[in-house]
Amino acid sequence: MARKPMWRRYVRFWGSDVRADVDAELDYHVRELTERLVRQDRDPAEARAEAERRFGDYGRVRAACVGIDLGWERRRRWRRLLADLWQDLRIGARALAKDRGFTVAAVVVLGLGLGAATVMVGVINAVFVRPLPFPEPDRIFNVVSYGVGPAPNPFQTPAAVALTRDHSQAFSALAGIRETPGSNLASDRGSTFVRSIMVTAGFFRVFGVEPQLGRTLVRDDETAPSTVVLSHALWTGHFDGDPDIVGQAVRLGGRPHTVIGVMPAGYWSYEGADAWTPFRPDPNGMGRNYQLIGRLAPGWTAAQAEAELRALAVSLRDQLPALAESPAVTPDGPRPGVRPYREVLAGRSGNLVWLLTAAVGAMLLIVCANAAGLLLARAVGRRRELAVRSALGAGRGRLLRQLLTESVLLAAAGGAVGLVAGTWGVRGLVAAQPQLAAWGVAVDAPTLLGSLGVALATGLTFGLLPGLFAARGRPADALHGGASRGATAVRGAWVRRALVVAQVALCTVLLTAVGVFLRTFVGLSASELGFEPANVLTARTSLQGPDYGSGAAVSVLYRRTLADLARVPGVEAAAVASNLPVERGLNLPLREAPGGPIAGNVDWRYVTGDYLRVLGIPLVAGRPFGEADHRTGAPPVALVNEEYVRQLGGGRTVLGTRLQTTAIDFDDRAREVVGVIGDVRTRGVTTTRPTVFVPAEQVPDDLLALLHGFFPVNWALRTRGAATGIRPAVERVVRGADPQLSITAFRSMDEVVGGAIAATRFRTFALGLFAAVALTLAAAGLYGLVAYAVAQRSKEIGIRLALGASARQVTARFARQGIVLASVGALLGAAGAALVTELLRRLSEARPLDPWTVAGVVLVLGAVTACATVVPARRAARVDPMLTLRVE
Amino acid sequence: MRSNRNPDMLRGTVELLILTALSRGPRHGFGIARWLEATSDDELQLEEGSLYPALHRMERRGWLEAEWGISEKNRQVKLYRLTDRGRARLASETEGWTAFAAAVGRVLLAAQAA
Repeated sequence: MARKPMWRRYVRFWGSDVRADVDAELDYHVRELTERLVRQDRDPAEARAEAERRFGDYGRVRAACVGIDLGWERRRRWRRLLADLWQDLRIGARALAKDRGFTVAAVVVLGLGLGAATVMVGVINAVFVRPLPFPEPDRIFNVVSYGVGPAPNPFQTPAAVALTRDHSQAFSALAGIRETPGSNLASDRGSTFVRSIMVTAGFFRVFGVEPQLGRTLVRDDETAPSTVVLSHALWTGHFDGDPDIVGQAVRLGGRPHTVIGVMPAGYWSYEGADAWTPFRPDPNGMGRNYQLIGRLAPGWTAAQAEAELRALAVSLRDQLPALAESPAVTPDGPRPGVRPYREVLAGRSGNLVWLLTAAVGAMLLIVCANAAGLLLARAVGRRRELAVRSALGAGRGRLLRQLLTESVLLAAAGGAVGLVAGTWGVRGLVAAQPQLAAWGVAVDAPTLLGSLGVALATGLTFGLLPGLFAARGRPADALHGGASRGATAVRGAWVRRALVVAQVALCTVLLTAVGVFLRTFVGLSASELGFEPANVLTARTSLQGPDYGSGAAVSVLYRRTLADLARVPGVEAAAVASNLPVERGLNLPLREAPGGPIAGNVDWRYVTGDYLRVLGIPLVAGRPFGEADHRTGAPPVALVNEEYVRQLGGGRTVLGTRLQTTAIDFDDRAREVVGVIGDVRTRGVTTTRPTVFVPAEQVPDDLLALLHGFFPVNWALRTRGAATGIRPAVERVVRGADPQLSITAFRSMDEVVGGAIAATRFRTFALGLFAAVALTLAAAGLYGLVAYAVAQRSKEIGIRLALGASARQVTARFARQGIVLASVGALLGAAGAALVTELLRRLSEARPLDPWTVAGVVLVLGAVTACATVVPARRAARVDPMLTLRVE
Repeated sequence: MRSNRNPDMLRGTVELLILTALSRGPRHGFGIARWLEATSDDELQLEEGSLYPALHRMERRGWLEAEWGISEKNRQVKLYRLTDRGRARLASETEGWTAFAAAVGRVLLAAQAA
């Protein structure tokens, strides 16, 4: 085989020149052919022409060859690049494997942070970013009133719904909504409890969603016999997807309804409704809890719509004299406005989401600070290595590429850990907080891409910056002075100190938040709750509808079921209550005196005779309800709680006084206060509102209908020991009294309390987790800082020890640095914590900051700081002075 | 000039001819053209330039290896030689071609006999 000539190798050394090579090859052919023809005695010019003819189209051949070779060349170049990259990766992996401690720490830190970021991105994407599944969702608005107090909001009355719907031009579709607690749906397939809401005809046009079967509600439905539209879930569930469902008769809330349509599967039902019934706005009706929702007409802006609504509000006040009395109607009239539907929806879980986002964001910051600290320390430590390589001729680009590769490797490993952690995190979050599932919070492609982006950005920024930092400066300096003395190293140390301070500060904030939440519900005792939750079983049923619209009907039902329940083995006492402790009751204005002006609002409930005994609520003064109070025609009486006495008693004894509540367009009867009972938490576990209890049989029919429209009623049983086997008996008793009723939601009172604090507990758990991670990271940061300083200055320590410094003095010297930094961080954090706890108190039911929480946080931080600084500082004392001096 | 009776048939067989030409040792493009001229008694007429895209393609496929060498007249020439894969390819192509030619021959004979 012919050997390559040397010069060719040099040509190749600079990369091949495809075109020149092809030309050389083809030229040779034509030239040889010409010479051959000349040798056959042809004229040279003629020979050349003949050669070219026999060769064919030179240009095309050349183009074809160049094309083939260039394509080949390109592929070879890619392969070479990949091979180089692979080599870089191998070198990087080897470097990282050598520094195992650092690598594990960095991967864990990055992984935790990115896991948190995945959760955060998932939640934010679902709740705030992803478009709602309706056409033009940004044009859907809720009509709200600004600046109204506890009094009725004029825009939440049926009259306003009717008036606004008929006169507004700003909305192409506008609908009134009345939320209900749900009702029993009875068909020939049995009965079930469904979440139903009442909506006016335009409701589905607001969302722009067509039914899958039949039709949706039209204006005629508001006056015709009752109709109902079913959700896809209800249709496929209860009705087995019956294709002939449209036109069938069902009983909903005890009234006959005709099924007119079924919504499609993807329809995102408002408040998770299963059934929509026509809302019949009565122009003269009052009451509240009506909402208006609309789709802006083309060409209208939100501001124009608000202006139109204000004008309508003024005419509303003129048409409805009753409204003029309302404190909500200021001299300027009520001030209605519009809020984007997404905001209204997000508001329901928005507080929680923001809280978690803030916590996760804080943790992510800590993670970044820590990753930066770790990489910075490593980069400063490697300054000598980098300087040597630089001195040996490695270009800055080559060194950067190596650092970049290592960073990408770290980020990728951290990202992998983070994805696993994030997936678990999102699952845990949705399991703990099912309302997030309704939002579609899940680990999906955008979430993964988002957190992948965060992973790479973190890895690159915090990997490359310290590298650049360390690579700066002349190699000679680094080689000469030792790693610790360069100006770069000093600057690096400052950055690291600042990072540690920031971490401790963020940690303080998180720990304080956790402390506040822990104080809110840990050790919640019976004395704090106001009742004995042990051994109480509850269940509820809806009494919505005409069957139980009168005191007489209710009385018959309760008498019969309570008598039967008392005979069930294991039941000590039974009672019915319109609302359970820790769950809200009816919010009604209280008159100063019967017929007088409004004094304030109370939480109003009805109960049957044994209520106090079943729940173990103490009587403070007066007497409980007796048999006589439950008889028809008995004089109207009420019990109040101690909070009522404090807030509304006016410093006088309330026993024997008369009180009257009102529901705006109808008053309750004037009642004599016969007893005062202990405070029971009314909303969640931290709030007790002034409460009025009345005997179930004494509730006027209007008020009964209003209450049953809002709340299902509760049966509560005090049992002997564990109440196993009682459930079927209770179901039998209630169905025996009325086969149309379905009794559901069996819960022990402990579970009811648990439900009331579930959100708080979850927040505490989540924050606790974040705080634990943050604390670990901050401790690692402190530890690393001190340990690094000790390692770097072992020479100095050796000299000090040799000159007679005691081990304690040296230890204290290094520990002091860490403790000072931690203190600065804690002080800064304390200021932040004060702000955050105030915010928490406003957002949720958390208690204000108390000294115990502060003391706890200081203790935990102090202990961790001490460990994280003293342990590495003690190493300084173990330096052998002879050894260090000899190294020099 | 010389006849050029069968350009279409040639196109598919250029690669087979090149493989055959190189089976006796490395050659440059010009040498392959001369060898084809001599062995086919000028019967296989083709534009000599069309050898080159085929050569480059075959090199890329790994059937051939190319190296720059020096000719007798001390000119730089690109020499091609068969790789093992090229050799295997030559064997299978030859077999296929022979079978095809035999089949076509039988058909033609049968047609004449009819």
